[in-house]
Amino acid sequence: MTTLFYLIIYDLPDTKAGNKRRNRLHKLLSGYGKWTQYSVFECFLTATQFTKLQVQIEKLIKPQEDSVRIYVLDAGAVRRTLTYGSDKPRPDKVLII
Amino acid sequence: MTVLYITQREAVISKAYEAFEITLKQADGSWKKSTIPVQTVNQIVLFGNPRLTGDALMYALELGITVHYLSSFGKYLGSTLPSCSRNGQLRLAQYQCYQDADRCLHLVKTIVAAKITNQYTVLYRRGYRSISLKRYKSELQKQTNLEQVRGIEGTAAREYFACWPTLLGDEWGFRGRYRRPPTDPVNALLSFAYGLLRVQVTAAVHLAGLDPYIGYLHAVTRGQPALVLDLMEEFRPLVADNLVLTVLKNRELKRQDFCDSLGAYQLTEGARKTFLEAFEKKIQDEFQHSVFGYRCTYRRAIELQARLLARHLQEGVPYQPLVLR
Repeated sequence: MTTLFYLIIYDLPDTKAGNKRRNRLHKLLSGYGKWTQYSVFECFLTATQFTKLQVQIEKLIKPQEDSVRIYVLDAGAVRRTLTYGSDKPRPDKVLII
Repeated sequence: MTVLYITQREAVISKAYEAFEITLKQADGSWKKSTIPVQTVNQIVLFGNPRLTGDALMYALELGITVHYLSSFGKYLGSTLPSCSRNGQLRLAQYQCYQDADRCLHLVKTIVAAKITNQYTVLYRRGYRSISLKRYKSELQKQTNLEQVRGIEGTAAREYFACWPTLLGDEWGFRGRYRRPPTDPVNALLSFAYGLLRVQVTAAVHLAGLDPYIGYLHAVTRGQPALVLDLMEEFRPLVADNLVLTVLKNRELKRQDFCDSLGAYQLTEGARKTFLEAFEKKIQDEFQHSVFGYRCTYRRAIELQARLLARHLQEGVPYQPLVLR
């Protein structure tokens, strides 16, 4: 199964309810990918995994107040990615702890 | 296709919303938490006794993740399987083949022949030409019962391992295959690699919906997953043996990476991590598949073989084991 690279960035208002949603969104995204910077997640997902995530995001956020942007990148775009001061995005094939 | 290996004894794995949280004990006695994107994991392999909470286990099964338990020596203890395929028809076909002595013999000969070819290839690629291994292959075809085939398999294996000291050099003190317990570092490494391979084959057998306890080459006795061991045979030389020889040749592991407890050798904690990384690299190695023609990893190839065996049992398609040149 092919995986695509999904760059997910979000901006949620600094209200009580907003903070709560942001927290929940952070926890949701932690299950799918790597937290690289404040409000930025990098995920390597298959189509099925992404659809699952999409449904959960849509259930959680309020489009009138919140902004979530998802960039879908293919292998070529990932290869051409430049990074300064941190590692290039790379899917984890194995996690050894 | 991500595999999560947990080798730390003091780890606690719990569920945190859609992720897993791992709590690890640090050298100074404090605890450190980290999250794992569990949605992209397919298998969890636990060594020793890290704690997996009930929540986490249930969630893993819900996501379709198989959880494998290994002792800290790398011995396979068991698995928790998501309820995927329970194919009744396939199992009936598997039992039918077991009752049919001729079909059984034919299948077993194919498997052993493939194992011997692969053993020959392992030696050949390292510049060692063992003519006698080839001879066993032709002799195999003349045999008329299972016992004789098993005998030839054993003799071939002994001859094969007899060539190993020349490949490895004197420093490792390898004198042949000893399993219980492994009495030298090389045997310990082999046992560990076979344990890891067995995890992959067990998962593939369950995925294909086969019954792990009804096999053909290995005797169906209590507590022996005969079919898993059967399917492992062709992969032993390809994956495990090649890996052990490469790791030792490249000096990725040294003599001091092994410790001796009561005559049994095992890897130290840090070295185990190195070896696991090497194993994962090996099993995700891509090669041209001889039957299907496309490039695939060894992990995928193991699953394909389990499915091919299922096709053979149900539809009579000839079983072609994986043989590499």
